[in-house]
Amino acid sequence: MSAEQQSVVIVGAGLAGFTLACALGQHHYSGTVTLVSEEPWPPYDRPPLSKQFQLDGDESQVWLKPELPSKVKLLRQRKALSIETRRQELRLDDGSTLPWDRLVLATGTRPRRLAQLDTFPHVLTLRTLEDARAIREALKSVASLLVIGGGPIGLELATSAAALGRQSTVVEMGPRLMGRSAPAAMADILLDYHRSQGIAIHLGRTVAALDGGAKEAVLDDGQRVPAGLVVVGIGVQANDALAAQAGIACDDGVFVDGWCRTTAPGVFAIGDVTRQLNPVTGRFERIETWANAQGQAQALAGILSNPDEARAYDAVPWFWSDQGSARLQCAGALSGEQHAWRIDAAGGRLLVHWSGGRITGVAALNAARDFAQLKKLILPRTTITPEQLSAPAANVRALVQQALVH
Amino acid sequence: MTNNSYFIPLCSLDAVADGGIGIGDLPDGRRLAVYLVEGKAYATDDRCTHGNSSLTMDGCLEGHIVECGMHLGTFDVRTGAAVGPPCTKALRTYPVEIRDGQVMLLNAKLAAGLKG
Repeated sequence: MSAEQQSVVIVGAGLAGFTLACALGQHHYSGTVTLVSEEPWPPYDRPPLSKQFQLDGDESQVWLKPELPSKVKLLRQRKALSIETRRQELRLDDGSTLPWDRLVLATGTRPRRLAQLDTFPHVLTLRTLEDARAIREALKSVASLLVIGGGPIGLELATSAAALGRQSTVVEMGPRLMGRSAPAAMADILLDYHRSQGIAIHLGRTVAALDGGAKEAVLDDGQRVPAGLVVVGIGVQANDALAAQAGIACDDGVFVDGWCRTTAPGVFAIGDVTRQLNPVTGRFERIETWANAQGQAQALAGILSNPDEARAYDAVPWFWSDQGSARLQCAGALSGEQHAWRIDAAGGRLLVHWSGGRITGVAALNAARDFAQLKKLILPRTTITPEQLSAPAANVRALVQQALVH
Repeated sequence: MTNNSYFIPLCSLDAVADGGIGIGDLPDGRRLAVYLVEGKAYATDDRCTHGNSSLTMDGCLEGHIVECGMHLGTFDVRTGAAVGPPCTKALRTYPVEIRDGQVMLLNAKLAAGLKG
């Protein structure tokens, strides 16, 4: 069988699975492509679920585009039960088996839960379209939202609820917001912004109890906060059970190399479920971003359809989080040996980190153009200096172009 | 459009470098993004069709491709076509010409009227 006629089975129809299926269509991959989805609706995009969708409920804006190529067979409401790596088969919950030459796990993640709150009916999490619909419906009949967890999803949702006129409260166990995803100094600016917008934020606190009758939560210091609806946004766990049961190396995530290969021959993984080498930190990490899901899927499409010309995936991790009029972007590492700020004429802020003389991280708040430029200098053995960046008259784009030429 | 001239000035050539993006404000208050590539001018809506950011504020032009800095999606300024994710919906483009040191918008409605 030639590489061109092999059957590819993709498990999971989130952004990564969808992008791979589309790209294989565009690459004129001549084998069969089957996309297995647990959900009943077409593939959709998650970023709007905490933001625009909460405001307008417009589902037409969440479907991923373009439509899947006709050669891609989408199996909806099918759960994959097990992988037979020797026989190269995937068993589904309807009793059928799918043979594969290449199996791709794009099973994503699921929200972490707080076991002690699970029995309360008004405690939700946000991952799927169904979750987003439930939150939107619940918000209609309550006066307040309590978000547990000060990460991007929680802050975006708190912002949306505030825009809908709900009293929004965020309770974060750690000493600051965005503890895993943004530099501390940038998180402090976000904290001030959200408080100025009327969102109550309690740092270093946990929820000790919920009072469902009073629609209040009691914090560990005894404070009572309004909690008509509670959404838990404390991070995610990898959906790696399918891989683990098949003996594939996992540790809260499926280990992959730059070619998206797992430890089982013919089995690949992409997107949030993977644990991959972060080229900036040098550690194996889960990179839970839109850009990574999309980029890894594009890379794997090349690897499967044209292996001779394909290259390993080693993109610099980055993400955005739109929180009302605060538009945050972060790329690379969150800290370094040296840092410098740049504040542009319109009030946009850039925070750049250097380690070993190289730029290792860029964070921006409402400074998108310069962020996109500076992001290009993460990893290449070229840099600009903190003094160059901070000089008031500096043209960031020209500096970056100059650095890239040298 | 209330303007009754055939060409509507959008932006002076002094205000946009070749390879750069200029601001084109229309009489009705709308803002367009004006691009100059190898001596030729192009114009599109200023607002990215994906994340609603301003291309004149946050965009960066490389050849004929404008990258929106917010989510790093891209468009071809000649056709408006979305060419890089997460952008999927085309930008609206506008017919422009360079005249007398100005990038001019061809008043399409009026031009159609004259021809008709």
